[in-house]
Amino acid sequence: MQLLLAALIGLSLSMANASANTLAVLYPEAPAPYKQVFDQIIEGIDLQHKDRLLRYPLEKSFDPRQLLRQLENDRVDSVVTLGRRGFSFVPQLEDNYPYVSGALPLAPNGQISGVSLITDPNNLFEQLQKLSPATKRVFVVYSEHNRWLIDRARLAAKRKGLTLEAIAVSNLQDALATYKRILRRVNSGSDAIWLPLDKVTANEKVILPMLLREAWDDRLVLFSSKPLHVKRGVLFSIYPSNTATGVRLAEMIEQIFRRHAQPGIETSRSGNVGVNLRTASHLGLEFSPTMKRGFYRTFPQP
Amino acid sequence: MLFIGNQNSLRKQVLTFLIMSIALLSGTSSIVASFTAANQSRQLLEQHSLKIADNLAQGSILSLITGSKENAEEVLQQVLGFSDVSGVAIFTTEHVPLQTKGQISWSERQLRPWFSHDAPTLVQDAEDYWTITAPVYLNESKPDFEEFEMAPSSAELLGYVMISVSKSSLQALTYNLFSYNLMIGLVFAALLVWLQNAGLKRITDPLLNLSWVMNKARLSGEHTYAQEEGPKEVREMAESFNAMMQVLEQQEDKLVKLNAGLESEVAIRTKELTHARDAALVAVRTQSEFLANISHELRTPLQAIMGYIELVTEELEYEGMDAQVSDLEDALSSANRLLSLINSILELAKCESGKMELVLQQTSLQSITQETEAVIRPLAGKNQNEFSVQLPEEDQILFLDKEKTQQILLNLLSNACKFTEKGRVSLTVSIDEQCVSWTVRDTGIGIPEDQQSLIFDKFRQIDGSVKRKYGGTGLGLAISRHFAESMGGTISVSSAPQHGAVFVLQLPLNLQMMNNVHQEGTLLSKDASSTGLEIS
Repeated sequence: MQLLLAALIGLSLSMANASANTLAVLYPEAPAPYKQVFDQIIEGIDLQHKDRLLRYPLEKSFDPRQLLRQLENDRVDSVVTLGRRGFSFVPQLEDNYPYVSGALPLAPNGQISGVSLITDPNNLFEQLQKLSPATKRVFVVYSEHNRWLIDRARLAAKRKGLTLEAIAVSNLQDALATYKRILRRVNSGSDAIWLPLDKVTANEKVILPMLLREAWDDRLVLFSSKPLHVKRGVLFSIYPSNTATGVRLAEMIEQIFRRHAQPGIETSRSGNVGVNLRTASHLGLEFSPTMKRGFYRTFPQP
Repeated sequence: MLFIGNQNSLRKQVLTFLIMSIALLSGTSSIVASFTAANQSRQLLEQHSLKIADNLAQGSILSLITGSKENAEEVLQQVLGFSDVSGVAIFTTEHVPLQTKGQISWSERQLRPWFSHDAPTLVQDAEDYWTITAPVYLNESKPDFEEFEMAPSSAELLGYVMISVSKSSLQALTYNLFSYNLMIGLVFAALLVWLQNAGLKRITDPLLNLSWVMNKARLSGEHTYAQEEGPKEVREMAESFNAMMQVLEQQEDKLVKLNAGLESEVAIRTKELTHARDAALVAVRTQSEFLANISHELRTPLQAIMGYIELVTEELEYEGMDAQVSDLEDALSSANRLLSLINSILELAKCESGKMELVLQQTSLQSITQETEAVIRPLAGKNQNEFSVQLPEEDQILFLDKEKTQQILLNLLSNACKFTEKGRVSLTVSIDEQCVSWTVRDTGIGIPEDQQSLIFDKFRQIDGSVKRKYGGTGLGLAISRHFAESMGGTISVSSAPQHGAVFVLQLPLNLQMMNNVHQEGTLLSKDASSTGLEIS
């Protein structure tokens, strides 16, 4: 009897140890208002993660070895890295801790898991159809490193009944020439141009001003994966949901920790749409008050 | 140094100082202000030009990416629209000009150093223009917070831009700044000078008025009063001046009254003194006249007595009455002494009555001394005294009254011989440019110091015992001093009891003085004669 009791206590203790997941969140020390982004993500993690959660704000020049020792001392079981500073610690984590990353425009590479800042094309096309129902064809110019996204976009477009014309380019000159050709072909009534999160094909010095000017002149729908472009004049973009990202990151690390699964990179599935109402008005798009209330941000702001 | 010791008026000095200060201040501030403003304008234009170059670099991205001159045209045209930009050019990374517009020049070898900068830079500062270059980079807009980017933003060099900025507007501005500042400074300075002149006039006028009144008082000797006006200090000065004038006026009134009293008193005293002097003169002359008359009256019978004594003596000698002859010789000797005394009194009387006349003549110093020596030497031998004479080697012709000089010397030497026994008597003669001196030195009984001032008085000897022992009338030194003074000379004495005495006779050599003395003596005689008194 006594032996049975001892075995039960031992089993329960080992089960308790097996379920405990001390999670460390490594994030950069940031000034307002960026600090709020990380706080919201951590809040989401905290909501989802039921065990001990430790926060490690990182200074600009932190010592990785010291941080590693700290994690060991704190008996950390798994890690979430946020931002570029947190992501820079990944090489130290790879052989020691399960980890996921967030708050970065991550692209899938088969090794890392996390939630990317890049908006899922499905969400983008869904919002496009809501805001500009007449649009049937979407043009996108992309660099090679965004091919994975375009692959997803093709599937999403197909699902939504849109035609996606994706053209790969190798440099800015090529991109510029390609856009000029596209602009000659577009039909302003049914076509739209999508600017992916791409420094070449959505270059803010050359491409964006030119496209904004041309789109304005031709009353062409222009939308972007970069939320900041809404303020500059594209019709809409989607803002990431930080809390939801946090929740998803907590789920992912739990998956990795418990089941040793590798969920990979997930795109942002946020529905926080930001709309430039002046552009919409210029394009002749009208939104019901209910729709307007559903917009996460509108521009120009009063 | 400009103002110290200046004889100009206070107002002029202060005004000059102020004008110079204002001119200096105005000039300095104008130059400094102009220089500062010109410098700031230059910096502003430079910053503005650098900004234009930067904007041109941003605007040239499209043209450099596309290699299209047409794309460059618009942006170059925009930059040329700035008033100071005179020329623009866009270059590829290989330093090949893509497009140029306006006036701009360079040389191939300049391009490499000019395009080596990472930001817009002023690469050439020529006399009339600047050349500014800027690199053209293609980069993403730098995010505010790079933590949301996978990699830091990078930049790709696309080419270069160059602008030429004319300095003409800057030069015109600098010139205008200098000229306007200087003009304003001069106008302001002129206004200040005018104001200060008026202010100074207001302040210094009361002081000038006071100075004028003071000067007038000084020149005229009148008691003028100043108006009490102007600044506090000037009013106080005027008050003090007026108070001083008042005191002076009162004192002068008192002085006038006192002077009037004194004048009348002086007149009375003068009259009394004149009377007293006249009475004294009359008394002296009466005394001298009396003495002369008495001496004359005494000498005549005395000479008759002496004649009769001599006759009686001769007769008694024939008769061999030697005892009576001896008595008569004693009587004759006494008569001679009496005659000598009478002669001396007569001479002294002549001196005092001013009737003595000098007989100036040329004479040799050696002859006058040697003649005196001849007379005295036997006298010196009487008391077994050693007598010596020291003369200058070179003889000198003197112009003086020889007889009186000899009389003085004889008197001094005979006194020395008389009061010295078995001692030394010496006569030393010296001469210099001013005077001739005879020094009579003896080793006799000497004269006490308290008696030395008295021995030149008439009928004075040091005491009664001397007179009894040595005899004499006591008139010799008095007469000698009269003679010496009448020739413009002096007799001095230095002595101590039992240590002998030294008498020094000094007579001037100056002929003019002698003449004056002679004329004075003549005048004295005339003056004496004008009183109606006469000494025979």
